[in-house]
Amino acid sequence: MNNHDSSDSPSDDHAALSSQKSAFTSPLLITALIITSAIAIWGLIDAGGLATKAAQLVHVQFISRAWFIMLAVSFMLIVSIWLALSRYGGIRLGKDDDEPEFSTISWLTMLFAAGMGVGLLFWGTAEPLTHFDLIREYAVPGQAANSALFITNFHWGLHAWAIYALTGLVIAYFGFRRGCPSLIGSPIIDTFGSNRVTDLVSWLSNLLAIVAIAIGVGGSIAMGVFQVKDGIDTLFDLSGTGLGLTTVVFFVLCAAYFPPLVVDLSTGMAKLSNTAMAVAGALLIFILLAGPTHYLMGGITSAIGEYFAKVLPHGFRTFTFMDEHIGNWFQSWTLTYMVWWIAWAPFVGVFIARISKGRTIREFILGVILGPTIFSMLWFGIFGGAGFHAVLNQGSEIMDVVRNNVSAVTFFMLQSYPLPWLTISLVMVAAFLFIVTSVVSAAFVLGMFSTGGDLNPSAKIKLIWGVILGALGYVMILSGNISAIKSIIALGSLPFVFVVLLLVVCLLKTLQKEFED
Amino acid sequence: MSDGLLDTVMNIEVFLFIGLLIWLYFKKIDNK
Repeated sequence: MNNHDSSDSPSDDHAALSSQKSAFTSPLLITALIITSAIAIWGLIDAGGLATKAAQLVHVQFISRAWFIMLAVSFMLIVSIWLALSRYGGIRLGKDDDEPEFSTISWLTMLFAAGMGVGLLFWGTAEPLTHFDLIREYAVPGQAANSALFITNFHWGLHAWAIYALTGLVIAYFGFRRGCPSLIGSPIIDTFGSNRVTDLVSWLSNLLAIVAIAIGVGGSIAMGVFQVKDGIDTLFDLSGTGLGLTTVVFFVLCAAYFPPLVVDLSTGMAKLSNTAMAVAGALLIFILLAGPTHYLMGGITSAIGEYFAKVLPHGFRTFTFMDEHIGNWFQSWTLTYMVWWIAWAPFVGVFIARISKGRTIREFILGVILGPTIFSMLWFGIFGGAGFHAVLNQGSEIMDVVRNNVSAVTFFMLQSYPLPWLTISLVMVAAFLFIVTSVVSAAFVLGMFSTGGDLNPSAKIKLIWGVILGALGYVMILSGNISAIKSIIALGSLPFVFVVLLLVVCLLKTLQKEFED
Repeated sequence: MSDGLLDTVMNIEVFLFIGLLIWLYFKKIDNK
């Protein structure tokens, strides 16, 4: 059959996608399982060796391709803004008469929840203070604090969300408007037709998405476990519990996320996620009101102005002419974050696509890039601002904690606030819940991707992914530190940068075609 | 492979990829 002569309906290519589904289902699942299990087994045998190899490979990639990564993420932000403002902004993600499933308020809340996660709890105070520690070697403390907050907001702001927005938009547009299966590779076949090359590229894209998600979520499991373990250490004044307590926390976490993989607890999971979100929100308000409120609000206001004034040019900064110290910092923070968001993009993209059916492209992009960015700025303004206040005004020893045990920084800061036992417990509960809900959703998305877009992957497939995610998480725990975790995630997600850009081209071409028709 | 050569090869890959994307964007496809 010649695709070039086909009718207006995309059904021919969807038939091709279905045939691809039956032809590729097993190989995709098996290949993905082999790759992810091989990484997990390597890590379980020699975690240090895996971390060192990952760090070496990532270093080479980052040196050679830093310019490309920054150019790519800036391009994605500019394309997102352009799409929202262009004639394509009015196109609905669904049929023309589809209405949004959720009210705008609950949609925005769900977007906040997608953006919120263990990362914000973990880095809320620690990240601004880590940058501050470096920048104050080059600037006066007040200016260093401003710059540190700007850099943190840059890492968590519009660029991150533009990556999610474009990936989510591709999934939603091709899924709801073009009727393609919910797979990362579907838009490639829908746009360029089905042939040997496109089938293979589509298949490889699905594989890269699966690997990126599995490794990214594994890293979050490790971060969450470290944080809960340090919370227990702080609360009960334990020290030197080492891997023993970490392993106990890890197995409790596994015990919590396995049952929802077998039994459908989707309503319950939504409740858990909302509870975690409410706890995090309550903590945010508590720090704002119990802490130096005017100081925190002043910091947030400055940060908003500085952020929107500098965000676009900063996206193109590669620090090429700076010394090695700054160069290494740029690699281990900015570049790592950008590829980290890319690792999470297929996973978060599926989620935000599913809740956005019936919205226009304009609503979708503006909601997805602005809502969570503003929320993150409030979060870092309050948690980071509280950290700066402790350092600059109270002579706190928090910087020692920042240098020696980054996962304990939030707890150290909370100890100087009222009711520390309560707030520390709440951070641990929220971290735990965020991880459980993330792993359960990730196992679902991985099950869906690896079975050709099945919206109800079997419990067996989800369990297999649950075990692999747990194993990858444990490997990263064994690797022992956050920088090793960051390297492993970066290595797993770097190839996906190419896939996201290819998907953007598919989207732009198909949108253009829709208007021409 | 020396560091310099590896760097060149990795960047050439990126240049080719960007070229491919531009070509795909402008390529006329009568698929549907």
